[in-house]
Amino acid sequence: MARINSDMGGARKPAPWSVADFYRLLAAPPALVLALFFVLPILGVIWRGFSDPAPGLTNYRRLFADGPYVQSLWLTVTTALLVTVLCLITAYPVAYMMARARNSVQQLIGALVIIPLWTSVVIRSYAWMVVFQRRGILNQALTATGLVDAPIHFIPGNVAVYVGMVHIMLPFMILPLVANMRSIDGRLLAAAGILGATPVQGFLRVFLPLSMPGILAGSALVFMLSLGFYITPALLGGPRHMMAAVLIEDQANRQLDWGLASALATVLLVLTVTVYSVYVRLSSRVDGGLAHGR
Amino acid sequence: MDKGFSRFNRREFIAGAGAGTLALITGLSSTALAQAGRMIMATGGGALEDAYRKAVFSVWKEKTGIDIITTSNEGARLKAMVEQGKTEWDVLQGAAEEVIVFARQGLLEKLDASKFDKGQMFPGTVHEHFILTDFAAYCIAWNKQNVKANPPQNWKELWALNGRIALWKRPFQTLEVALLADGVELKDLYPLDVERALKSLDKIKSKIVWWARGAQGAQLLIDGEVEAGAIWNGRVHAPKLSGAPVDFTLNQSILVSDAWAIPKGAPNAAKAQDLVALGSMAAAQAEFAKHLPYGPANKGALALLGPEIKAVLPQPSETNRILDIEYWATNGAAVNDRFNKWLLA
Repeated sequence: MARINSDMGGARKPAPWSVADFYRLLAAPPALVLALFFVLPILGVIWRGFSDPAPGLTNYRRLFADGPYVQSLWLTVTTALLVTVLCLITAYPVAYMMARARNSVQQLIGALVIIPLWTSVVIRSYAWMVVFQRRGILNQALTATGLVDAPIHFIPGNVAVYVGMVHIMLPFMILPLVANMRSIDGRLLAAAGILGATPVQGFLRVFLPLSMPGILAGSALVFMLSLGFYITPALLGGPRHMMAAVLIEDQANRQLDWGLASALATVLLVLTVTVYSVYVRLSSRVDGGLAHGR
Repeated sequence: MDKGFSRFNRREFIAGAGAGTLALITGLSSTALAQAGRMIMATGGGALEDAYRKAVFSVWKEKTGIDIITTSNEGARLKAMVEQGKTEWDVLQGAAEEVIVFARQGLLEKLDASKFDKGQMFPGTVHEHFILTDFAAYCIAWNKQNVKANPPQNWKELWALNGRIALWKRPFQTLEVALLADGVELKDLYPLDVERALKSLDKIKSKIVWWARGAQGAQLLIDGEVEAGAIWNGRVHAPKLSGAPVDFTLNQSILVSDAWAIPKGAPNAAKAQDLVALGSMAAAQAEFAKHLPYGPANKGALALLGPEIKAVLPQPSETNRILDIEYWATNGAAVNDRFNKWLLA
């Protein structure tokens, strides 16, 4: 800041060029691109929600009136929450193993986590359809082993939907967790042991609190991404898995009611930003949080 | 030296980067428009586009030397292009019930009515801003391994079926067949009694497996995930012929159409009129029907087809009903909200 001020001052002798200046400059083009192609259009979308077809709150009134929108938003939020919790429960042990493993094992697990990301969400959702359908491999295995007499109807149903969604979101939970867990000093656990803590106590009172930044970062990421789920619930879910993204697409692309679509998108954006600010607030309390800026 | 370098970087670099990016965007679209000898048509892709290619685009290329480049027909893109005054498409194809919404929003050019042989076109297929080009059927289909005897021949029988039923998770066509299942006559369908249709759906709610995409619906039927259900005939016709355990009837089907239109501000609007006219002609529609089992909107095409092909084509008759796109254009938003609310309840 001081350097920029002196630069503008003119009368004073400008400070010499520094590497920090150069780094700031490097940030200028992406900042410009973001402003032009991200911030401006989003402001446009928000504006449209209040101005199309006529200025006022018409769209928001329709959104919160007796229609499917409030319920769909509620469903979207609760689904995203549940996916986040399930992801955390599934991802935590994997991340723990990965962070503790030898390098080669770690790379192997890392590859297994990341490779599914190369396949599109649509293909993976169809693949889960094949697994879960009436004559799918899961039902074949269940009936062949005599565990069940008749095939189970997994589709549409909660099991199929949540397995599908958790599978898609897992990498986004595992990776922040691993990054965080690897920075936890193993000697702290050893020290806890020397001081008389049982392994469970050591985990609960030393490791778990230290992994909070990873938990928060992963959860925030997964929750925000899950708010936008679209095709997976449509393919694996029932009528009640109607996510807000489906309604937005319908209004934007088919009904061409951009005012209503914009209002709905704005509400979803507000929800996302709210979750993000809660995350920032929480993680600034937990030392070393990703949003901490250090 | 240091000072000058730093100043140049900070200010001019930002300005330069901005100008460069803008030039890139505007430059790209204008070169796309400037291409001579080609036109852009937005389509739904897939088998439909392949059939257009064989039946219409190849003839067009022979006649005019112009190549047709295709792109995806998203309504939002059309609206954005027309609003910005930067239309890139010359012709678009879409589901008629969607294209009529485009027309009502003022996104389409008027068609030159003198170019169509109105006497040969089925009633209701030539509109001011678009023409219908074909008839597909939202019809009853069943899995032959799951339903071995007495497959459902009308919607009432489908509703009574002991087993799972696949339906499209959208109100258009689904509400129509729900009313037919409840005993409403084909001729009395419109205006739809939405509440009665939802009550009819309530009766089978626990048996319904909803599909969101045609490919998914066909998969549900072919894999035997459901006993029977509703699907467009084009989705199960080829699988049936190639031996998949699926069969269907066109009785009591709801006929739906593809529509062709010209976006407002199309760069080659005059030529686009000729292309749309070509798409409406008997020869093109007959050739199209040889590749996809969708009935022609031009009656003249039927005379050019053999009996075995004609037999599988959906054609307007007393045993089916054409989707009332005017009804849906007027009531679609409200009925859609009501239907979605019912789904979520």
